Amino acid sequence: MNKQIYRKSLVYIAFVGPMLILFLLFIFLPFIRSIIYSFQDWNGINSHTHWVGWKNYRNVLTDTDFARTISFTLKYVLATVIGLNVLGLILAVALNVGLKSRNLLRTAFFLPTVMGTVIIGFIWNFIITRLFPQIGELTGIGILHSSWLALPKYAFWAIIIVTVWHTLGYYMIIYLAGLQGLSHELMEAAEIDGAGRIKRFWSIVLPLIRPSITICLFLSIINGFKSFDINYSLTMGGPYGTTESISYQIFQDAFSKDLFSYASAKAVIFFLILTLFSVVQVAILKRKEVEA
Amino acid sequence: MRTSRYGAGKLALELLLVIFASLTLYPIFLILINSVKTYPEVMKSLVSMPNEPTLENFSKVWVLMNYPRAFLNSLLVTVSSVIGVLLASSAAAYRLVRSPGKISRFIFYFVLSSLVIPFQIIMVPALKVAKDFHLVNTLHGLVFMYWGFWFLALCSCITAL
Repeated sequence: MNKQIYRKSLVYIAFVGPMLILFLLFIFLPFIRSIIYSFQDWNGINSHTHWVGWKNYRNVLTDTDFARTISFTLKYVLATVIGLNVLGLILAVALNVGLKSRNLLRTAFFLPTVMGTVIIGFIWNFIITRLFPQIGELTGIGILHSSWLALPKYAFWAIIIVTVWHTLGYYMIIYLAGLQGLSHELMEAAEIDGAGRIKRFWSIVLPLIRPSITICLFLSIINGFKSFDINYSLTMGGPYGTTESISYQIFQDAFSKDLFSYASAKAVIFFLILTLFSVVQVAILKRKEVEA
Repeated sequence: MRTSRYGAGKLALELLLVIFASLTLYPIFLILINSVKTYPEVMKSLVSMPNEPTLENFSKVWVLMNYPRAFLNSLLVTVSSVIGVLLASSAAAYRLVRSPGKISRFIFYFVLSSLVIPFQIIMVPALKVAKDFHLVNTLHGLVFMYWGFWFLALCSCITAL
């Protein structure tokens, strides 16, 4: 009996071990080290470090730059989450009704997702600074004449547009998978009962694709908070740091300003915010899932 | 289901989506046409079709950035990362699902919760770990790191399924 338990745990370790070791090595251990750094005054290069207690955290809380990136990131998350999920769901529903070119269309909408974010930032930078004015001249639409990446208000929307363009296909696919898992019998039964198109969508389709909604909301919120690549390659955080996401500012502090432990303190606070958001969100959405 | 009927409504929807899809693809189309233009031509107009298409850019890039080598590197890293991640993640996910219990659940949530760790926070310490194991500036080092970074995503997906 004892031998059996021993064998069983050996198998368990053999299966789970490799994953766990690499995970501990490259994610968990570095993360713990970062937390330790946040209580020190290391600049990333120096070999001498001192414990400074909560000093980094106190400085972060009074840092107006940090407050500004948090407000930018929250607005960005709100805008992209709404844009991605509403448009993604609409696209998925539209591509699920049996159009002739649906496979081609699905591919077309998914294509931007497979491109690297850094490349996308550079291309859109080109499009926004060079093509938008050209279109503006042709069509006389005044809004396209402004230099979008130089004005804070426009730069914000430029980032939103590029993000939605880039990742929409991904969320569309998840919603599409959810829609295709719906059973025809339920829809037919509702139709016979006299439920209209809109009624059917609200009372049957939406509750049943709740798992997809949970996943999409979770991913879009997390990815929104962690956004870095597009801010880096499209606007470099500018104009005047107004499009600096939290990740981007942490990166800047750590590698351009050599404030490594200060950046670590920011990252730990960021991690706590993110954890709070995900836990609350998953708890709320999980509760409302139903099964057919 | 009455999805088989193809009426005017569906035609309109289809046309609308085709227009929308064309807009989506337009930036990618721009990359393609601008890649065969000369530099002055690109500067003159971004949207014009190339006057005399040239492959000069391609040959220049091929040599300048040592494209074959770069591509081979990417290919090696991708293939070995995917193989490693697939093997180890599915093995771990399989055991975690098949032997439910406190330990499995703890490991699952432990790994899953790291999804919210921003990459920037672990970047430098991860580099230090890599240095300790002499993995810096080597291809296999990069592959090992990718294994570590991607296990959690895949493992959690498989377990959730």
